[in-house]
Amino acid sequence: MLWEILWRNKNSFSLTFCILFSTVCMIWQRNPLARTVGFFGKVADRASGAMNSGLSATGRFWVEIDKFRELEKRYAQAEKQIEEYKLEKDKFDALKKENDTLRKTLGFAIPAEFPEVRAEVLGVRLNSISPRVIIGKGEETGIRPFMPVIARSHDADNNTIRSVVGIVVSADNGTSVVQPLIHPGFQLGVRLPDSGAWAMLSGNSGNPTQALLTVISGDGSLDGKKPIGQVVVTSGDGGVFPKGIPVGTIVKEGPRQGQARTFFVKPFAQLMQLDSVTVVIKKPAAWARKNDEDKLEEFLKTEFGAPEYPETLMRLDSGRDRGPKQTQDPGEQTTGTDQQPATQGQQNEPRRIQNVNPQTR
Amino acid sequence: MFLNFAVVAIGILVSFFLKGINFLSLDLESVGGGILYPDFLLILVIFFALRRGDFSALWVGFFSGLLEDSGLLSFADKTGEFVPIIGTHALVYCLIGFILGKVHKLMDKDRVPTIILIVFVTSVVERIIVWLLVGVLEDFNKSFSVLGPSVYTALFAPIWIAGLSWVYKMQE
Repeated sequence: MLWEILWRNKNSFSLTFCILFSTVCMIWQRNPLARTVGFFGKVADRASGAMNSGLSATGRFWVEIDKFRELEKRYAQAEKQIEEYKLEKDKFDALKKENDTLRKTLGFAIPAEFPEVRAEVLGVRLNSISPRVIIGKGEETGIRPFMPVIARSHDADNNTIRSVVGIVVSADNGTSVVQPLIHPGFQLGVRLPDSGAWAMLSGNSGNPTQALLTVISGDGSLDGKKPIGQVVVTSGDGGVFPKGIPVGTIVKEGPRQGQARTFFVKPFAQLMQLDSVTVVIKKPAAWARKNDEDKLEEFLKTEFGAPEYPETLMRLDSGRDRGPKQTQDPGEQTTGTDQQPATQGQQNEPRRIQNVNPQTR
Repeated sequence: MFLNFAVVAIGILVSFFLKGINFLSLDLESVGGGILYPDFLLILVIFFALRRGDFSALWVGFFSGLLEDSGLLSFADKTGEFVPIIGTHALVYCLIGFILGKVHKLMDKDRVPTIILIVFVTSVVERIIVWLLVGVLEDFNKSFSVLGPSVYTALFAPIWIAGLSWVYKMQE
């Protein structure tokens, strides 16, 4: 009886159900069904990625054959280079050891190296209203939301560099979803090393393959330097990415936003051609804490230079300063790129000396 | 009955896979247009609306939309985590399927120009409504293009609809 009524009015019931269901899901975003649908979507994206790589392999087959001979030559050259680099590695290790020893002697924190997980890219969906990259590693390897994702790419001089891809936004056992830097919701604090300017990078640029840079420091003159072609690097200020990772290059000027100048940035990472990425296994909190400490020190500086403390205060300060630094968990320290030992050392020279050897006073 | 459902489900999945394939994309980056992909899921919904009427198209649209929504994530300020947002594409696709299914008898659905026009207009409407809905729920995506993908989808539509007609004729 009920079935007959339903079947007779199937169109109306179906339409009502679909509209109600969709509306409720849009309003109640944390409903349990959303996660189930998300899981199926990830599976579908994964299959799509597999199909994608298969098809592109077929399409590129003839081109690849042409390149094969040239690659053979390059392979031989690369083998020679690897041998040379093996020797360089020894030098690097020795320098690193020396650096660590010196840092220890001077009382600087030894930069912790965070583990990294290399993950295969399973699918790239840049055509969606919410662009995303699906990678083949998840929670079982320690990946969590908000972890930075980087990839090998090439800069303007064709050097191999590591550049920003995006951040992990969701992770399950075996896969994770990465929000790329061209996602409309993506924002990142950046710097322009050539001019020293601070800026904010946003994925919501109006151009599907570029990001928008808004210069927030100074008058936007970029220290009189030509903006086009300048490299943009992470500032490390948001606490998610470490400082100094290349993001992209400025390709053209955008519309002014009030007083601020804007520029379009072409990312170094070729999102369409990503085969693998690297996830830095680091929660953002530690970088954020380090930045807060940096900021405190910056606030102490005045236009007359770094403050000079009275001797009595210095003695008190030295005893207080040493405690937390020594007890700091190495895993919660910052990466090497976050540190500026030489500059900090010079700026805070009286304090450092006091910390190292209080007996000299 | 079961076979019917299975074939429709496979059609939805294949259309979803094809939607993200680089092989079928058109790279207009040099002219600032980004990379265009044809929306095979939308063509599938339109195909069901034109061939099977409003009821089938409504459900095909609903499930296709759910699949499309599966990758949408939004940052929840209150909890500080990313949560999936579903319902936007599901709502738009099911409404498109239902409305086109209602009026399909008024259209000459065997003519290629008609198909191209229907798909183009539907794609423009779909993209605008999705952009508005997602904008209200999350952020307005300034990089989301409407015309380029709609034209590309419309140009692909006759081929994909011919393929679907052949497959579903075999099934019947």
